Amino acid sequence: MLQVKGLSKKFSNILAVDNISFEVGNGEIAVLLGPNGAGKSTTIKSIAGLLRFDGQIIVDDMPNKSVEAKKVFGYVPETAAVYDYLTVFEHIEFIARAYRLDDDWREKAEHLLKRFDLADKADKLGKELSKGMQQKLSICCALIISPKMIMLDEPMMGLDPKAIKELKKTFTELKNQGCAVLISTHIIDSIEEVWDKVLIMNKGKVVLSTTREELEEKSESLEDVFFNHTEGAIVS
Amino acid sequence: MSSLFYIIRKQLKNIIRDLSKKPLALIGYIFIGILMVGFLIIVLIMPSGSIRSASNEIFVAILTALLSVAMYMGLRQGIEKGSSYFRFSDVNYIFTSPVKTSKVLLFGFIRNIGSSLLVVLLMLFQIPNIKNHFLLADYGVLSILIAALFYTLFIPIMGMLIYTFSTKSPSNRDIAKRVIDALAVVLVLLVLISLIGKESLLQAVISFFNSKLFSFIPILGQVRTIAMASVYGIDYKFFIAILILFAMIGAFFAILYRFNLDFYEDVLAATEAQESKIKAKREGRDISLQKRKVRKVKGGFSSYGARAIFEKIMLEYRKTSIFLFFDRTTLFVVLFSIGFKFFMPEEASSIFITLFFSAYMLFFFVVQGKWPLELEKPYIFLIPESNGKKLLYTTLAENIKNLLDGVLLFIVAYFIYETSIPVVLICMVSYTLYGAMYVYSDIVSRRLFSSVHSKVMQIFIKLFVIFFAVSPGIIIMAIVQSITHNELYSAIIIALWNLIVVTCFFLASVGIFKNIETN
Repeated sequence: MLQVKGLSKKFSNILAVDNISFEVGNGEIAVLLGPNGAGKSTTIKSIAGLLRFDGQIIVDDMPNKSVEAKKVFGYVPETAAVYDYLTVFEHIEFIARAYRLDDDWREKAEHLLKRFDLADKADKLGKELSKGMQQKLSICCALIISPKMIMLDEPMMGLDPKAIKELKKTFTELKNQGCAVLISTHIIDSIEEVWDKVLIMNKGKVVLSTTREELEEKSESLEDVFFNHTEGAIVS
Repeated sequence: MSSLFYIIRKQLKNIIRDLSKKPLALIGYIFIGILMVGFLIIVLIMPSGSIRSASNEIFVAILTALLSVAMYMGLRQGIEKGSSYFRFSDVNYIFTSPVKTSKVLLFGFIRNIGSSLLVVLLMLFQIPNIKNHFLLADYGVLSILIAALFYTLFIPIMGMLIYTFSTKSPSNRDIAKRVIDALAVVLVLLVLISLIGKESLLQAVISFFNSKLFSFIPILGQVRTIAMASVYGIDYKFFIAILILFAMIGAFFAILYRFNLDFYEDVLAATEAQESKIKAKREGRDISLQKRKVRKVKGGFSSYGARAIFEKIMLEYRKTSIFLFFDRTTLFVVLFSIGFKFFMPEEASSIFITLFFSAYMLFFFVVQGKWPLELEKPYIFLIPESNGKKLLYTTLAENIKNLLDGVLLFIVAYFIYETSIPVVLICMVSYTLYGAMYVYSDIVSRRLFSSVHSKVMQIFIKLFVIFFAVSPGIIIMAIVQSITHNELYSAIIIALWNLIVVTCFFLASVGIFKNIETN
């Protein structure tokens, strides 16, 4: 579903992402794991088409910046992006119409809002929401399009325990539906139960790409592997 | 205290070091620096009173009235929100450190001199206007700049003092509000009384604001005396006023040292408000929008695809504007553009002055308006529609708003200038095209200068791009006007030139829309 080939991204003189390549298949949950400043967000933003980059990014056999590719992927930014003067429901309606979704989106919207405890806040304006609620709304906006591939940049930040639980359940459901999921995080515990493939990033490079099966075979924990491969991130 | 100066020193050093890593930004700042020095030289050597030489009394009257209004608003704001020299980082690190509060305040004051100097630099842009209308004395420009410096230094002190006093108890706050309002009412009443029995109302107002009474009002009086030296020349009063202001600053700090006032709580609210403002500016949001009343509106969407972007923006307008597209921008553009006519001498007055002045104001409204906010969120880039359609529908509401504002503005202008209907119609179109030019040039500037990190710098760059795009049209128009003396031909030239520029910017923008980088 997602193929990243030789992706590099430079900001002024800083090479934020250095020639990385990886793939995420249908029904696979991949995690970009790394310390702060490793290049995770830059990678996700490049895939979402928000940055210029060198290399090639293919989503569902189409270049990531093509209109056709954009139809099939969802993106949850690191900082929740909501419009101050749209209500919660209007956000979902806006996305549904802009993406030309079928009429059954309303039913799905109601389900999502209920699931993320936003149903009673459907008439609240974006600016009236707390940061956590804005994050939940951002997630709903990405999910309403029923994506074939979804990218989430630090999605658990600011969420309450119930929302985190629901989000993890959502990951599993998406996986079962054949959706490719790419999550960026630096908090290992938050993805411990759900990941299939991990891409450990450090200083702009993918320093390790492995699967859950491979780690289980070696009887290694994700935390140990992470600290072994991220120089300077070791804590006592 | 040395640890506090360490912060100032290190921050300055790091800003310079950071700039050296960004050559484009450095070149930009050097360019602006050269420009400012050049501007200062021009300001100093340009002749005074070249358009007309209004009397010194008019200068003093305008100065006193402006200072009175600014002082009233400053004091009111001081009661409501206080004032602050500080940032959140100061609150977190310095307020909690074992440094005496009086030293912390002195640190804030010294650091604030930097931003006051920036205001003085911006004041430079008003000097040609003043010089065109008034005969300035020797060192006149310097006097105005010194007055502006003192005034900007005193605003936070006033705010802090009055907030410290008014927050001691709710009754203090009410008393302070009533006293300030009462003083304002007294001033207005005195103005009205001065009109009684006078033949010329304007002359009566002018002589009222020239009254010596104002010299005795603390701060206002001294700042006024310094600024008055720009037309009457520097004399002993000028130096006495400066000495009094220095003495006031000294007294203020002496009080703080003696009583060691605990002002931390008093500046928290203002620091928070200031921090939100800075954050909003960085994120491209308009802080004033957050205070607006929002109407409940039902049924926002009926279309699909890129048109939904237009409907979303329309929905936001319906919730926040006064009526349809008419909002505060409309009021400002119409009032100031029409008002500007009355500041111009009769021979220089024409509908084109209103067009150009409104276009100049519009630039700043577009730069800070709703449209750039769309680019701060990822949705516009993620929506699966062609770039051309997305650009068109994202900017359509702004263009319609500019058209309607232009229609309103030039309907008013029609009655004032009594010019022909075709000229008025073309001015409406030209105004709309100026708006479109600012919108689409914004995309081009973002692409070309996206690495420029400062918002202020970005606005400067956009201003330059626009200046070079607009100037040929105005030059051709001026030539045509001087040859034919026909307003219609001149209006057509401007509209055609703007249309060409807008088309070029739009086509360039579509091509680069896909390559924009978001935050």
